[in-house]
Amino acid sequence: MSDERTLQIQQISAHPGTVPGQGAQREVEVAKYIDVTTCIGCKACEVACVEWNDHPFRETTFDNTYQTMPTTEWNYYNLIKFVEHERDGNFMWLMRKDQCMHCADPGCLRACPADGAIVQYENGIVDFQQENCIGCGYCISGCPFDIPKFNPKTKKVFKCTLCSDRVGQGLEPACIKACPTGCLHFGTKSDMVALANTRAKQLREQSGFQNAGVYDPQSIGGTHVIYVLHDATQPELYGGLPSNPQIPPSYTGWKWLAKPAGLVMAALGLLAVFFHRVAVGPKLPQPEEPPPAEAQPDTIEAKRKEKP
Amino acid sequence: MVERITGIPRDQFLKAADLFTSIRKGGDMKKAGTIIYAVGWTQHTFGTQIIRTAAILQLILGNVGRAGGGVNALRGHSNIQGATDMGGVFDIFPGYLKIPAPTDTDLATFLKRTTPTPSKPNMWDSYNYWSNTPKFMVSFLKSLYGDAARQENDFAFPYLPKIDRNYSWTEMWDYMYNGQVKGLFAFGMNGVMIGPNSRKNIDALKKADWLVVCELYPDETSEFWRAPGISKNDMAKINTTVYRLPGAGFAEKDGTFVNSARWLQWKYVALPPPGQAKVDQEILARIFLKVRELYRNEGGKFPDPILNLTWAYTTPENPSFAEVAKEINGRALADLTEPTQPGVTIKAGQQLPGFAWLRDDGTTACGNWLYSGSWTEAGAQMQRRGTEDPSGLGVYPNWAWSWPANRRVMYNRASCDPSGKPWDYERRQVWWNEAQQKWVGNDVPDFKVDSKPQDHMGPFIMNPEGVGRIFAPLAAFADGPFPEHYEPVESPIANPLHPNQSNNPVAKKYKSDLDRYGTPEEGFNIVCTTYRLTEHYHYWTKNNPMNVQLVPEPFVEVPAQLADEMGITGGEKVKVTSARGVYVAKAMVTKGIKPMMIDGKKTYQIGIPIHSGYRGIAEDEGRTSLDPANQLSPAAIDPNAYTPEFKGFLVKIERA
Ligand code: SF4
Ligand code: SF4
Ligand code: SF4
Repeated sequence: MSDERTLQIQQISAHPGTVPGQGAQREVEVAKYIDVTTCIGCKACEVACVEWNDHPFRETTFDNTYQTMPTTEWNYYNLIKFVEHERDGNFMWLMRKDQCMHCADPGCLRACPADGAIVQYENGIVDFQQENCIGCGYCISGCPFDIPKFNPKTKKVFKCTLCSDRVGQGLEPACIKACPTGCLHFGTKSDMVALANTRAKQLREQSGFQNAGVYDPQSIGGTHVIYVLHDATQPELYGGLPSNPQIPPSYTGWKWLAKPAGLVMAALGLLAVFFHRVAVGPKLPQPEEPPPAEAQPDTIEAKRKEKP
Repeated sequence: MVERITGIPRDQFLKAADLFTSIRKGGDMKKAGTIIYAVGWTQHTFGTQIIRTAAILQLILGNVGRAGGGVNALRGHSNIQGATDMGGVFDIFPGYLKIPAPTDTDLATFLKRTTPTPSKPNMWDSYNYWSNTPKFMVSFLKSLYGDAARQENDFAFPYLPKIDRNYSWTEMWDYMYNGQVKGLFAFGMNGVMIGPNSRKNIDALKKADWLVVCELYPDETSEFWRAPGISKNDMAKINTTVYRLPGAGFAEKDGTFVNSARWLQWKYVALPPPGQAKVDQEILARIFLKVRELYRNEGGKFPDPILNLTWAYTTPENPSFAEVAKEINGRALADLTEPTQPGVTIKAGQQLPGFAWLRDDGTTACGNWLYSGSWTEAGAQMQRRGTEDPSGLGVYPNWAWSWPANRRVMYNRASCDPSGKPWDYERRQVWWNEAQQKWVGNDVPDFKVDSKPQDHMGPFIMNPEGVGRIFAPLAAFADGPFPEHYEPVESPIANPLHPNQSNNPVAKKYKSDLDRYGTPEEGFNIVCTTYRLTEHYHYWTKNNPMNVQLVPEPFVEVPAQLADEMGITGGEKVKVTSARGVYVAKAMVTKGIKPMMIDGKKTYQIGIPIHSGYRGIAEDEGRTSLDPANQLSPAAIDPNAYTPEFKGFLVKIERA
């Protein structure tokens, strides 16, 4: 399921020509399944992520919340979002582990103009290759989940890798290994979807959460990180999870620009599973205003909190 | 009444009660319900009464001895269970053997006092397993004193310390504050922070002659002299000599953790202790060997207990935990045979297979009878990692080792009806096998294995009456045979059941000038509780940048409604005052704590995490408030468990 073969590249950002070695068909799609209803907000997964990725510790400040910081950061890929919620007059915590969703149709990858800066492996993991990143920040605006984050020092963009280095060696992601409650699961996408559905059914039938359900948004072809929510009809409650995530229209045809039409057609056959979701034909995109990095002070610079 | 006392709306309480008792609807005996609790139930001056109530409820519902039943404690530390099993409490020896009192002038007197006799005649026969106390005790003495423990000298019983009073935690600090305790060894125990009334604890240490602290980091105890409020001038007047010993962390030593399901699980060293740090057993061994040398060279009032202590480890100044674990399991000191097991001989020197082999004639040595069977001739049972679960019940009999006798559910005889048939055949644990004329099963039967059901032996074999204790015998509890509701020592209301005796009459309060207790009349009208966060582990993770990053500062959780009324906004500093002290930190305004209607009065509660003090990364950088949360809490203790009342006391709150 999760070995080196699954790190076969399936899509490459802005790449002219075919994807090397592409096309072998097997059940290799992986997924992380997060049961939001049994997360206790202990943040062990946050620590594991920082440690596995060798990121520095940061100075944080008290902000009237249990949440470690307002959003994920270029060196903090994984953040539990804490929401105080009232349901039928009773209090409940909504605690959602926020990180890259590893979209089947990744807006970041579509938006990226640099050859090879973002790849999607056959197992579904979307990975940034910083050596090819030109720091333009298009991926940031292409992502419907506000995930990629800019490192102002190196001028590169970073995000959760779904621990592709671990998964490639047959290990589960670090956050999954650290979780003490077992609310995090990792396996093939189909297994995870089945597990999630069983749990959602249990919540509906036995725990009184009539709207419990699985979050695997089809508007972007599904994701390789799926949630079980107590109330799947209102994902926004969970720290702003979009119910209908969309890639900005300006990017939905972007990558066709770089590819000769013939190769595109060849790729189309091999990648039918992904491209059938793209409703547009091979016409040139008109990205209205691709946001240059320096024009994004709110989302990038202003969030720096680490020590200089 | 429940609504008046607890503030839980009547309908909600009834709903919860209905749900829990619904498992026995229509006499169905198949289901089981469990009660899982933590210190929210125990840290009261009536904590034992709460746990008793839970036990009674479970007995009445038939939830004891059942897979998925029981009253289960969640522990706040990885090895609290092990510490208690091994006698890390002032009034017990390993295996819950009692510590002798001054009136126990010889072994026979002690054994007579501490060995229960079966209550007979009785409808139920009683196994009264504690009748084996002499075997456990003599084997324990043999493990301590080896050849020096002989029949002629009462197996060295006179060497044992006799306990003449309550030396529990809060008492000890009171004695120190009153000048009676002159020195303290604190190993992995941040006394200033963890006990109630920190200010008194700090002042107590000022009066001590010496203090030894073995820790990973300098902590509030080893640096009590720099507590907030102590001026340079005051500091110069403190004469306590502080010795700091560099301890090793949990990942730097091997040994076992015992969890609350009583499994002994071996763990391995992940990395060596850094720098000069040493593992606990090396530090203790070196101190002991030095003390023994002093006694040997200079004599003393009573050198024998020190000079004769068994210390036969391969590396005396650093005994391996494997050797210690084997010593605890116990071994035969002579060839042993057992009438119930014909043909089996345990040779002198061999590890014992279990406590059934223990003798009271000095032919066995065993450090803790409950752990006997954990390291046998077959090897270290606590190191086993078998993941098979043949019954599918979650027994995992080959994973680690569970005391007693690798039994996973205690009192499992109660999972059967009187005739020995499982209440729930689908989830059968043990049962009477007529053909073999013995108890068999998926778990180790907790019973006299050949006792026929028709002989009516009671399933609660550790009680001399053989049955569960709904009504407890005299003297089993300091506060009476049957639970009663009491208010905390500091309560916003008088007990609606009996206002003239509002709180536990036998709970201990202290009398020093720093032991003050507040009342609502004096303006202390907010209920305060303390707790830990999942992001921090007691007082040492504030020395780890990673944990500090997760929760950088102390705070006070304030109900949103109260904050509204007082105009407090999140992040603003608030001052919390109790009769004993002041605590200042930022407010975390939350909808998570709601006001309660207690006896018709709208009552607010606030919560304070206990981790922060005056030693840690953020504290050292001067970034946070330096107050220990326990400056606020009262020294008032439960009369049975001696647990302080951290989970309900009175304060007032204002903007700082
Ligand atoms: S969540 Fe954002 S960064 Fe992650 S794959 Fe989807 S679009 Fe890309
Ligand atoms: S999968 Fe890896 S990189 Fe992503 S959040 Fe988990 S630990 Fe971090
Ligand atoms: S480790 Fe698991 S339980 Fe803890 S915060 Fe992360 S997802 Fe939640």
